[in-house]
Amino acid sequence: MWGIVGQRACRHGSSAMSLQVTRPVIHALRSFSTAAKEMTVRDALNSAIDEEMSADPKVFLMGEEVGEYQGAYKITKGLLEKYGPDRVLDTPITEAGFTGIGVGAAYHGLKPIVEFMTFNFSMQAIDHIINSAAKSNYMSAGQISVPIVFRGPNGAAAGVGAQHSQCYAPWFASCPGLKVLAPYSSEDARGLMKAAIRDPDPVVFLENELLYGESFPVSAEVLDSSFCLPIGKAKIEREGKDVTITAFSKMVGYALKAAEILSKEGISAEVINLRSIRPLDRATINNSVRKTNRLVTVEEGFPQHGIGAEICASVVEDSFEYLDAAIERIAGADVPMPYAANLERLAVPQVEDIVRAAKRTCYRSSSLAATA
Amino acid sequence: MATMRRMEIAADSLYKAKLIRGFCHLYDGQEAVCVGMEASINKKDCIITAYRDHCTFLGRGGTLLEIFSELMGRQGGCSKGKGGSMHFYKKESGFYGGHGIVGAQVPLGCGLAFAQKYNKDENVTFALYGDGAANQGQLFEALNISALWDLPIILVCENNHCKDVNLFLLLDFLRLFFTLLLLWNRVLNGWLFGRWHGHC
Repeated sequence: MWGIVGQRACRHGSSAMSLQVTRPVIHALRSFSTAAKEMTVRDALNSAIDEEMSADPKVFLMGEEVGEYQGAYKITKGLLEKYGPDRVLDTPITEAGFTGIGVGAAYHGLKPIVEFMTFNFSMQAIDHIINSAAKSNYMSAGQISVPIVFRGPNGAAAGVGAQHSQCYAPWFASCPGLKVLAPYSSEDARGLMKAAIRDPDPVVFLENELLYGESFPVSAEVLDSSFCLPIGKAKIEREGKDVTITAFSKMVGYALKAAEILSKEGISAEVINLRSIRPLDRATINNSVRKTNRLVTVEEGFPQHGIGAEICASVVEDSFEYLDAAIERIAGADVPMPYAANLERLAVPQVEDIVRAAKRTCYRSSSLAATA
Repeated sequence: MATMRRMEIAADSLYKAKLIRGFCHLYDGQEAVCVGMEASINKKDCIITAYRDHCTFLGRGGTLLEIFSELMGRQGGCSKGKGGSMHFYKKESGFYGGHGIVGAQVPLGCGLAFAQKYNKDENVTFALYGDGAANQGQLFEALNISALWDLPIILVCENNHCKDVNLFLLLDFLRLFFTLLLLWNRVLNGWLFGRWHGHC
């Protein structure tokens, strides 16, 4: 919701149509006139980690370049100077080794934040994330708790090629014992990072490199050091009544843009920001579909066995009779990410793809098969 | 040590009777290692090992009832039947398992040592591993980091030669040996007697 207010406030009304669109926004701005501070996702993450490290001496940070270099993406800027080398540790390029060390430290009661430079490198350490961290609480019948956070950028960046662009949400979200979070806005980043650090179980925190520099308005409540978002609760970013669009991370921005385009064509889309991939907020998604009767799932990753597949199954299981159209699944292309810019653009979902899918569910355009 | 030996032999019988399912890795012959360690450490020192953990768990204060219950998948087991042979834990006595992936326990052990140093404990961690795990890359990664960060970790290699020869490897070796012998015989026959075709 704040993202929409921010975006609309920037648009200059030049036609009667957009005046009608912006009028409620001006009204909203007047009501919330005290909450106008903007914050980048990078600063949101940095401040959240800083505040949690300050509040709890057991929290420490480790990863490649997190200390002296101030963070590969500057997320951990200033933390080495503030907390010293005992709590902010630069590791060698040894994901399996340092992830194991992080999990072992968590076994003993510390609260590590382990950074992967990108989640592509988490595959080097995935045995420790799954077998050593996720499953230990169950295998030990509750004796061993693993309060660890694995964080880093996930998904496609720009032009980094096949080995540096994969989305790992489906892999981690399928594993019992893990919690998987994917923030979109600065409010999400702050609230979910704090929740992740405070959580007694292992949390995989999937950020997005292209969102780090984006600014979002944040209220005074969000800026408070006690601010925390609940894990397992999705957020309705934009209310609507004709079609539900679910998305997470960068795709939330695309879904909101698609909703804007759709509203001009008379289709009112409800955009759900998942925030939590595991546990998935099945209740919010199903309640929304029961209201709109149509669903489009959006994700950046590969389509097979993806997040959209799980959401489709959930809706078919819980709300089958409410569906008025087949569920549309928008995902990345089923190929390793190409390098050439035009191919890369074709390999990730674009706003037009979401708009077309939403229209298909509303029977506003012919099906894919007919247009092929 | 005698108790440990009898326990492992009993577990072997139960395994053969199919009352213990899945995996059952026995420590008979290695009892002296964990008993010797226990004699000189306390319960605030940590021990972590791989899946050959029955005796290590007993040494850390576990009971025979907990062990056999766990091995047979009963609620009274130390992991309530949810772990099995490879997943015994006793956190209050500093025993952190019980791990199924060869070599994984070494970086985990270095992490325990890291926590002890972080908390300014005066204690150390013992990470036990075998001749198989000695080949694991993550062991060298963890050793490297432990040296860089000066961690209070002691790595204990229990070389029970499990990696060296197993039955299948032996059979392959024998098969290779006899094939080579036959080939040599043919070549020799061919060269000596000009019998390059057929066999006599």
